[in-house]
Amino acid sequence: MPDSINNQLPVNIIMIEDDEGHARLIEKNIRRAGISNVIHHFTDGTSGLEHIFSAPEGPVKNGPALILLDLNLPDMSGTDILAKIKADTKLRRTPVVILTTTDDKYEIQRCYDLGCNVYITKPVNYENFAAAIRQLGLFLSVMQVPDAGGE
Amino acid sequence: MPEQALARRSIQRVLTRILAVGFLALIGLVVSAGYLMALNQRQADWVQHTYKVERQIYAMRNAVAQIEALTWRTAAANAPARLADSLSAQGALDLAIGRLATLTADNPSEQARIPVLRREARVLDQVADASTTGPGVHHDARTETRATQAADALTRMGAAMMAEEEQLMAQRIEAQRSAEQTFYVMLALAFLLLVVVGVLTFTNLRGYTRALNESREALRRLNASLEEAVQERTAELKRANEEIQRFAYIVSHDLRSPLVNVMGFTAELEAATITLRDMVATVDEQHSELVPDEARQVVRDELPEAIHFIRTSTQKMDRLINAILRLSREGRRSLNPERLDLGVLCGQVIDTLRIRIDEAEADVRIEGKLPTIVSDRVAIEQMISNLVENAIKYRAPGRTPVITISSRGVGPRIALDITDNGRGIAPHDHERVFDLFRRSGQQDQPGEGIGLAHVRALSYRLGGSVTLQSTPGQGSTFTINLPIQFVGE
Repeated sequence: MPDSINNQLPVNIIMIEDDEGHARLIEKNIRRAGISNVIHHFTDGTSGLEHIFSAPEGPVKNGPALILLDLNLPDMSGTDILAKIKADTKLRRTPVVILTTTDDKYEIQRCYDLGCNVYITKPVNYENFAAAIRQLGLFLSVMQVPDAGGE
Repeated sequence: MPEQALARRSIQRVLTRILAVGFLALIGLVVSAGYLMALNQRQADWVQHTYKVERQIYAMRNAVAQIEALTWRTAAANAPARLADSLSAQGALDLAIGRLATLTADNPSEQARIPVLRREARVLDQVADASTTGPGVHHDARTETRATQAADALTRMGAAMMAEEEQLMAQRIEAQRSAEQTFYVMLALAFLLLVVVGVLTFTNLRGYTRALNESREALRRLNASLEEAVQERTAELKRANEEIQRFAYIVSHDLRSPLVNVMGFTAELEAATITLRDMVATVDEQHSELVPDEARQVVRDELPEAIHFIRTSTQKMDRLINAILRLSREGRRSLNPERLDLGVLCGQVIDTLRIRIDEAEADVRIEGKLPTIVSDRVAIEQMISNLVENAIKYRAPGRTPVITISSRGVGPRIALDITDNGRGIAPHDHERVFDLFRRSGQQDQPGEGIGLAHVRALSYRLGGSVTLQSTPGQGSTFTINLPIQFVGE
């Protein structure tokens, strides 16, 4: 774990991704980038939100987190989850990375408008995919995740 | 419309009949007026005739009076009368009776009187003759009485004739009056008839005009509803098109997701294969008896080969999905019509393709002056760029590519011809090349077969079309047909 966040609470990674394969590839590449933070994986929006807002180890109740979010979920749109996170006073500083197949520029625009921190389009080309995740790992390593409390 | 034609024919028939009746009435009126005029003329002739007869009767009475006077004078003076006087009186009497005979030739009752007149006149002649010889020998009381009788008879008869003539005249006047009355009745009837004809014509024409107006109104309504129907259909088509675009978009997106997995895990598999191969190689070096030939072959050849095919196929699939995505995105892009000088625009397109043109040592030129149109810049640029690029890409080997861009005006539209001297397209492929993912001829150039499909889709969106003429081995001409003024989808 990089030194910069050594003296802080460990950052949990929350991944909401309905495709098991994608989730596995993302996890593999995060690990390959040398990031060993705990990854909580949810395959639908409801259980992801439940974890974020209500779970004892979730970001609202416990410590800082980074949220990896897919937009195409079976039960709700990722943008709804993004809006909920950014509307919550305790969560709005939590970094949200959108990682999805959608590369529609209006959708991207909308996510940034809603307050997403990074938007990554999943490239089909695996080398590019791995590279994108590794860059995300780099981003994670230098990132200062603010305290969930906000103050 | 057959109904209208029928109505028109029937109204024409009715009108013709009514007008024919009107004309007949007019002709009848003219004929009877002519007849009346002839009648009047004849009446006037008859009146004159009566006067003539009367004049002759007076003349006769005059002559009788003269003869009587001669006789009286001869008796009173006791001297013979002058021969000339006697002859003149006799001549006048004869003349008058002769004329009366001629004038009343048509009247049997008057003619019957003429011999009597002549007889009496002869008596008077004798008296007159006697008077010239002087009184005495023949002049006695009997002769005198006879002369007086003859004179009286002549006078009486003249009066009778006069009365008859007057009666005849009265009859004729009566007849004329009744003819005139008939004429007036006819006139009144004809007038009535004409009024009826007029009214009928008017009502018929009015009815016809109303029917005409109604049918015109119906036609207008039909037109309006047709326009509505067209608009409705257009809206439906637009909806259907949007639906397809949306469908293509969603499908291509959703296809991408599994593809990420396939490619991702293929890559993982490849990495694993390399690990495995290295391990097998290491074991093979140290204890080759532990490695079965089959395992060696699988690790060395079969796994890499399988992975290679999976990779190329998924890459191809990725390209196709991207192509669909691009087309559907292009279809959803809103068009912004603006004034475009095609000469300038084509020049810019050629400039952006400069590197490829120079690579192929091609000669791309704009022929003549290209028009200015109102359309979407990006779409036109893409169409021309695609076509010029194709012309360079499919050039004939061993020939300097010559590509010309020229235009023709076709009414409110323009036709932009992009002509090359390339390898051409076989006739059976002329339609096919515009289909998505379809390509023609030898597949020796990279590409997915979406360029021309894109050009065609764009031309349709701009309210135009794109067509192709080509002779294999000699070259092709692609013609973009566009409205000069793009009015929106």
